[in-house]
Amino acid sequence: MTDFQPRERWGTRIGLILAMAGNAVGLGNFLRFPVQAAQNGGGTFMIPYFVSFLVLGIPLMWIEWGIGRYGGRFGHGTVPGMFDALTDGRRRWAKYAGVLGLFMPFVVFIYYTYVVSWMLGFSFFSLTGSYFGLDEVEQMRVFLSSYQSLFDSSVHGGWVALVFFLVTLAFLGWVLSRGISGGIEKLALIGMPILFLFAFLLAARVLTLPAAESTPLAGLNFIWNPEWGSLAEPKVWLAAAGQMFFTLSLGMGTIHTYASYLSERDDITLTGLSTGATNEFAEVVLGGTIAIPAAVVFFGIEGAQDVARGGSFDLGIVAMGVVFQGLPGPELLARLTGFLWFFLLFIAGITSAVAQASPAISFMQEGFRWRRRKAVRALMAAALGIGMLHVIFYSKGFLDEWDYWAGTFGLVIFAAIEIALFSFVFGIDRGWDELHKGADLRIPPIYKPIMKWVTPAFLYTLLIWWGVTEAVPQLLMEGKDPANFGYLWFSRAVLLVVLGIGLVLVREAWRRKEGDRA
Amino acid sequence: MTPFALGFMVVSMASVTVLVVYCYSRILRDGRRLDGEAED
Repeated sequence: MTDFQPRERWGTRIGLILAMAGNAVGLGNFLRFPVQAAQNGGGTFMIPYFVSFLVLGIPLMWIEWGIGRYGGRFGHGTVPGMFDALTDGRRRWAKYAGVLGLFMPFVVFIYYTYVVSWMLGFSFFSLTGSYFGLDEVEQMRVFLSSYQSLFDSSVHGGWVALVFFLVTLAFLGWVLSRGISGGIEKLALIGMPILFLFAFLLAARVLTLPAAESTPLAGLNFIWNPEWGSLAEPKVWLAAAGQMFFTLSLGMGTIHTYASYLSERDDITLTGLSTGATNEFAEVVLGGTIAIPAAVVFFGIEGAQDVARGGSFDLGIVAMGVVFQGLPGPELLARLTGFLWFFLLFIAGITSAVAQASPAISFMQEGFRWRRRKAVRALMAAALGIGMLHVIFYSKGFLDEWDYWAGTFGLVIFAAIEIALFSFVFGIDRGWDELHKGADLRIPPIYKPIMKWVTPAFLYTLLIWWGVTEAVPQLLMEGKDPANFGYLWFSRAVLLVVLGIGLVLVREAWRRKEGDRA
Repeated sequence: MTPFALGFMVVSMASVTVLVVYCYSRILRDGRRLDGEAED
């Protein structure tokens, strides 16, 4: 079927805010933020963090809302068309540069959904008490790694992770096929209040834990105790700027697609700020009060430092799994607490995953006039097919490679391109007027020079710094197990093939569009 | 918990809470809907 379909719309303003906040609030709010804060100066990390929020996060978020709504006016729901519109169709390369805003959310969607499905699995394991009895960190590590590996049946059958992956994909497919207001918005309207309720309950439980190896207050102190010397370290400032990208889902292309379903009479300044504020609340108030303080109570400061060094999954799954088993009171209550945690992460993940899936669906609808259901089915089939590579090769570093190039470094590259187009090609004056169409909030005038000079300067510094300190070593596979080099090259090759297919699809979509005009 | 840590935590959490309250109170006060949003 190639019927023309009118563009969809959001149903309600609160639904839009919660869907956008759902896009932003993800696993990173609860797992990445506290680790970053603890590793980068404690309380003093919040100084570069808030500066980054004000001069990088918020301006870039408004710009992405503005580009999205502007593109939507021309019937574009994805970045290739939006970049083309920003250049008034005069720069042919712009739509190809915009393919990053299609490629990255698609790629991230695939591996992110796999990771999110682990949270569903561990929600189930919490309710059934599957890991209760494994009260040592190393035992929980074995439990997790057996789950993650298709070929390690020491604890689980290899098919267990696959089942939860399939269930998660099926659920996402069902939500996405119901459309913007009937599916994504409803998910946010139901999911986000539950997420906040669970987070408040968990924070309250952590803060009222009796002292074990340490106390909840010592845990908060671990995160917030300032190290003044860290303010002079560039890496701390860049870590804060990097956290902004992850936490606000910037540089991805998802905000653009969501905003494209708005009319120019709709406000984006106050609505955008509201979603940013909601995300910050989830991160700073709730994200910082659950996992790390709980880990400090049960493992002490040194133990928590070890856990934090192990990364997000060590903290969020391994350490928290041990924590739940040590909770005072009946085991049933401990299992329910575990369920609250993992299901909270699952909700945070799926509300982000539907946003990551949206650009690809919108592109097939608009570029090839596919019906939504057909686009969703194709996306789910692709996600399952390609996602199987993650299921099979996870232990070889396949997923980490995608996470770095598409989910980390790619975000900054994309943002660097979009801010140059918005501020210098489209023009900051036009851009400023565009942001204020239908606005309920007048952006302070200081933001005009910030958007034109400060945000790009901050962004390009971050790009160069990450390029030199991380991208080059990553490219050269420094620190990786030589036995996995072949898998890593294979992982990169698949990424390049997906990018190539994206470029071909953009060219084909434009060819069809020009054919229709002729 | 050291006074500095407590201070950073309270100021940080209060800042984002004030921002949330400001945004949602303005949205509720204005009562503005999306273009084309149905009235109750």
